[in-house]
Amino acid sequence: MNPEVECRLEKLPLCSDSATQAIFESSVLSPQSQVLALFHRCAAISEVGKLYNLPNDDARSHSVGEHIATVLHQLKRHPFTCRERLLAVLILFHDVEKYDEDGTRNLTDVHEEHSRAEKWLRRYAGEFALLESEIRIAVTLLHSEVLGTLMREIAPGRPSSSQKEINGRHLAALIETESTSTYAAINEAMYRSTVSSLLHEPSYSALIKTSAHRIFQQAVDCQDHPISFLRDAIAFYQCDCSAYTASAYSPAHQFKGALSMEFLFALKDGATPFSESSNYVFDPSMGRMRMRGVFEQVLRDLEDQVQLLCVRSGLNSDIDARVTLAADNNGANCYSVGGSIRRAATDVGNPFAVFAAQNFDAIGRSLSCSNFGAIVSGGQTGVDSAAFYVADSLNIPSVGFAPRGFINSGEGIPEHISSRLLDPRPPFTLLSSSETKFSRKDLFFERTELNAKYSDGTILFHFGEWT
Amino acid sequence: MERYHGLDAAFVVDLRVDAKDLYLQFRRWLENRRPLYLNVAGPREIHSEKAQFSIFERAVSLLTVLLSPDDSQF
Repeated sequence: MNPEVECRLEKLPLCSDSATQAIFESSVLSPQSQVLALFHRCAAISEVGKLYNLPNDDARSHSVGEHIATVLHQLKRHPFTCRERLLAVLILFHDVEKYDEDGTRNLTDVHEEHSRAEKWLRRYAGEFALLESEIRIAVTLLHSEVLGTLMREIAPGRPSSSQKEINGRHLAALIETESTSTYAAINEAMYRSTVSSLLHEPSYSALIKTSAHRIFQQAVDCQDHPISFLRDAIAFYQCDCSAYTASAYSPAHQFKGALSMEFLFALKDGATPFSESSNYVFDPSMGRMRMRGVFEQVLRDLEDQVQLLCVRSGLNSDIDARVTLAADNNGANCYSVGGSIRRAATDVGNPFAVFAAQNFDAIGRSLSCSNFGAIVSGGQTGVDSAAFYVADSLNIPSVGFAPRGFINSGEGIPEHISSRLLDPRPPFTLLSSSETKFSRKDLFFERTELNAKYSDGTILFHFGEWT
Repeated sequence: MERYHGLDAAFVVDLRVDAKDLYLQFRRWLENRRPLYLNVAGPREIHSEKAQFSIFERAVSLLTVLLSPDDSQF
C-alpha cells in the first residue's frame, strides 16, 4: 500500500472494525485527490464516528468506516458519473439518526429520521465544500424514497399469485427439512420466477411511470437535471448497501469486489449467512441481494421513462452532455453539476440557475456553436438594448439584472426587454412589467456590477479613447 | 485584457471601428474564455449626441457581426 495512504489510514479513527479494515487493505485505493481529501475530512469528523459507535450489534453494519468504503468503491467504479462530495456527504449522514437516542430502538418515523439526518448533513456540508445548490440536491436525495419504495414494491412480499403460493409451500417444506443446499437452490428458483413475472405485470409499467414522475418532480424542485438526479439516486442506492455487505462478507471472496453491485446482487450459495427466520425469503432486503438482473432492468426502465419526461419537457440529455464538456473546459470559473448548467461561484446560490434551467436547450445550442451560452445585459437604452435585440435575432438566450423600479431612458421599456430582467435580490425572480415602472427611489442595486459579476466575461463598448 | 468592475475579463470594442477587423480577435478571446454568460455593456443612448451617431444602431451592427457564429465572410 502506498505509505502515504497507509499513514492516513492509521490516523483514521472511523475505520475501526476488522472487516472494513480488511477491505481497505485489499483495495487499490484511488489516487484521486478527492478521495484522499475525503479520508482527511472523515478523519477530522470524529464526532460523527461517535454517533455511529452504538452498542447495538446491528449498528456495526452502519459504521462510518463501512459507509466510507462503499463511497470509495463506487467512486472507483464510477469516478465521473456521480457527484463525489455530494454523494459522500449523503452516505455518511443519511443513517446517522437511524437509532433513537438510547441506541436500541429504530426510529419508526422515516420523515423524522431524515429531518434529523438533514441537520447533520447541513452542519458538515462546509467540511465538504458543498455549494448551496449541491446541498439542496443532497437534501432532496436524502428525503427521496423513490428507488427504495420502487424496489420494495417489486421485491417479494407483494400479494402472491397462485404460483408464488405453490413455491412458498415448497419452500416452507424444504426449510423444515433443513436441507440447506436444496433450500438455497429452490429459493433462487422461486425468486427468479416470481420477480421476473412481476416485470411483465401491467402494474409494473404503471409503477415505473409513477416513480419516474416522482424522480422528475424531485429533480425539478431542487433545480437539478432529472437524469443527473436519477443517476445520483442510483449511485446513492448502490452505496447504501452496508447492511448487506456486512452480512455478505466472506473470506472466500478475498474481498474482491466485496462491495460491488455484482457481488451484492449475485450471491452464490454458502456466501450468505442466511437468517434462521422462516420468512426471510419474503424479506425485501434479502431479496434485493439476489435480484441483480431485475435491479438493472428496473433502473433501465426507470431511466427510459425519465428520459421521455425530459424530452417532453425540452430537457435534452445530449445537449446536457455537450454543455458539461464545454463547461468543464472553462476551468474553475464555471462547471456543470451533473449536467445542469450551474456556476460554481463562491457566492452562495446562482442567480442564473432558474434562467438556465428554463432555457437549458437554447443555452446548449448557443454554447455548442458560439462558444458562449447566453447574453447578459442590463436592458438600458443604447448598447444594452442592442444586445437583447441582436440576441433575439440570432436566437441566443438572454437575461440580465435590473433594479426593481427600473426605467430606461428611452420611450418606456418594451415587453421583449422587461420580460428577461431579473430582480437583483434573491430569489432573483423575473421583474413583472409593473415592477419596471416604479419611481427611481426604489433603485438600490447596481445592475452593471451584478451583470459583470455573474457573467464569465464582458464585451465592453465605448467611443473615443478608452480609459 | 481589460479589467471591468474589478474583473479581469473584458473585451473592449470602440463603437467606431469595423467589426470585421475585430471578429477573429473576438473569436480567439471567446475560445480562451468559453464564457457561459457573456455580458454586454456600454454607453446609453443619451450619449449619442456626443458620439454623433446612434449608439443603439451602431451596437446592433457590431454585435450582429461579432456574435454571429458564421465566420465564412472573414
